[in-house]
Amino acid sequence: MDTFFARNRLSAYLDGSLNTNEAAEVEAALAEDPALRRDYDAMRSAVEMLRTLGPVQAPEGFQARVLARVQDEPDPGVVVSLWRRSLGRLPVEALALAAAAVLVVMVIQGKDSAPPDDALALQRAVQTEDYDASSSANQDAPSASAPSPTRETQQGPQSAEAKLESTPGAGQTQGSSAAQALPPAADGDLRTTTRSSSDSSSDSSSDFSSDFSSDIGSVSSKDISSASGSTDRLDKRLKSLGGTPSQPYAPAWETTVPGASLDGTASAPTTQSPQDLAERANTDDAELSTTRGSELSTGIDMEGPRSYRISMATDEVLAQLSAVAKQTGGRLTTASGAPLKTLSLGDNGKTTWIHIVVPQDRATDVEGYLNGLSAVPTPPPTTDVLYGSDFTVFVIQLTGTP
Amino acid sequence: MILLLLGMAWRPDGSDGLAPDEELVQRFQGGDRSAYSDIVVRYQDRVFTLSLRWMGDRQIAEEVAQDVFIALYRSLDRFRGESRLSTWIFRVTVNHCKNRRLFRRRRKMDQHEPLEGTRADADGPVRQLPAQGPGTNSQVHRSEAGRILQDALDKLDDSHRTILVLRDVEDLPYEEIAQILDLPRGTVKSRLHRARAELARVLSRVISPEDIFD
Repeated sequence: MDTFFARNRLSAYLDGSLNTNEAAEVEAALAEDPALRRDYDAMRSAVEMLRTLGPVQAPEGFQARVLARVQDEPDPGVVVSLWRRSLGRLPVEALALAAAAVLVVMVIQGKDSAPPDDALALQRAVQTEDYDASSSANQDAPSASAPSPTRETQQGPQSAEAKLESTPGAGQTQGSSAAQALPPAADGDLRTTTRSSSDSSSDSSSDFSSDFSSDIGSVSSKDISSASGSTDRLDKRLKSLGGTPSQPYAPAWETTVPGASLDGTASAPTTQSPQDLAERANTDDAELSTTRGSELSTGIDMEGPRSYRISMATDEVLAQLSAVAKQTGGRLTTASGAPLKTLSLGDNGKTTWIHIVVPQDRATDVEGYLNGLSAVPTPPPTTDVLYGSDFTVFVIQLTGTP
Repeated sequence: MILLLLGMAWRPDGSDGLAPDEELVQRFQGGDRSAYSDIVVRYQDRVFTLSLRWMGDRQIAEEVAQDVFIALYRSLDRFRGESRLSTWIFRVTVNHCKNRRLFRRRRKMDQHEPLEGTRADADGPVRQLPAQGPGTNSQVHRSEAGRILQDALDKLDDSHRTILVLRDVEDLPYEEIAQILDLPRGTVKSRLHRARAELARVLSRVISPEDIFD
């Protein structure tokens, strides 16, 4: 007989709110377990005491004292009745006309403020309030700890807002239609600068993976925000999300030399498989302990992949997810765990699965960003790809726009 | 209007002989302030009971109960009837008790003061000493038992005390308690279970229940 089951149902049994089967189980347990029986009797006696001795009468004269206090109160109906009398003098037609006029004004104002659909989608992807094309040429090129190729996505016509920041470092030239834009400013969103340049340096391919490793260590929030001249703003934003400005993060899977400096000067990437990298990430060594970045606990345990669906996704959305992953010290991968090479969903509106793998303590940031994109949580899928217990995996289903 | 007239002509006899809550609210919102007096009569015992079991002191409990009815007076015009009046009154009472207790804790005023005359019959003597020997007066027993019960309730945390009083003293159904405390029904049941177990544990250290009841 399950005593644990019965013990947790003593109160409901006392109230007679169990169904027949559950009540029978409890009764059987009570018959068999003397300790359980004693506990039930003690509970029953306590409840009887409450029911018998609990209710009391209000002190004598209580009502009179309350009414005496109420005498000093203004009549709550006076204000209401004044309004009613005032409105009551107006003809119904006038009131209806006034209400209709208010509605029309609200609709007109609503239409004026609502951006077109395309622009709305773009606005959601990128916050343009800090965009200043005219000042882009005057932006200081942030220093990079190591020369690294510029990475950008080729997405047809140069759209300042849509370009993803490659590396705020060497290779950045002026005179182009560089633009700085920040991701959505909705709650939980992260900010990063995006910069594009038509005169990008050597590596202008959209091969995400080849550039990721060199970028991940050299990009810090300070670098990015200084490029936009808004370090404080970015830091405040990050802090508001519960995190701290990310330190240069060099995930273990990208480091090949044990004991190598983890100050952002990541060495050349390895070509290990995701499983190998995950195993390495799981090993307990000093190198790994320093790659965990901030020790700030967000209370998030490795509970398994979190799954979301983003409908009507565009390449811009994918680019922003990539930026978010990088900003939080993580990365974007395919569903099989391989680095994502192409930030394009294609034109046929197909569904694409990607993973966002971030350090555990940055998962909240990513989650907030996904909420800002109106990503819909879905039941977590099973995945055989392991990234290590220090990381949170976001499985994202992207449904492209046909 | 017709219903109101019918209601006034034919008044169903409740346990207190007063009109139903809905009618009293309607009358009050229509300007009949005597309806408020009826509401006070109907709920004064229950509000005072909840306040007393929360605060543990009669004087403070009366102050809290009066505050509840003043708040009720100020807000009753805006009561829309989306919940029962009793639910609303109990919720206001719980909130007032919490606030008052918090206030007293912050001012370090929450010292245990022995209850006086905590018996169902408040007109009796203020204090009674337990008699010795056979033929013990049951009223004395109940007075002492009431004190012990209150002491035990004071040892519980606020959430347990609240739910015990609402369920086992005020005899409210789970659904109404869930509305009052803004909790899921399942949480009410589980919390009630823990509260009862805790009260039983506290009481068992002090008395054997058979000693209380004749």
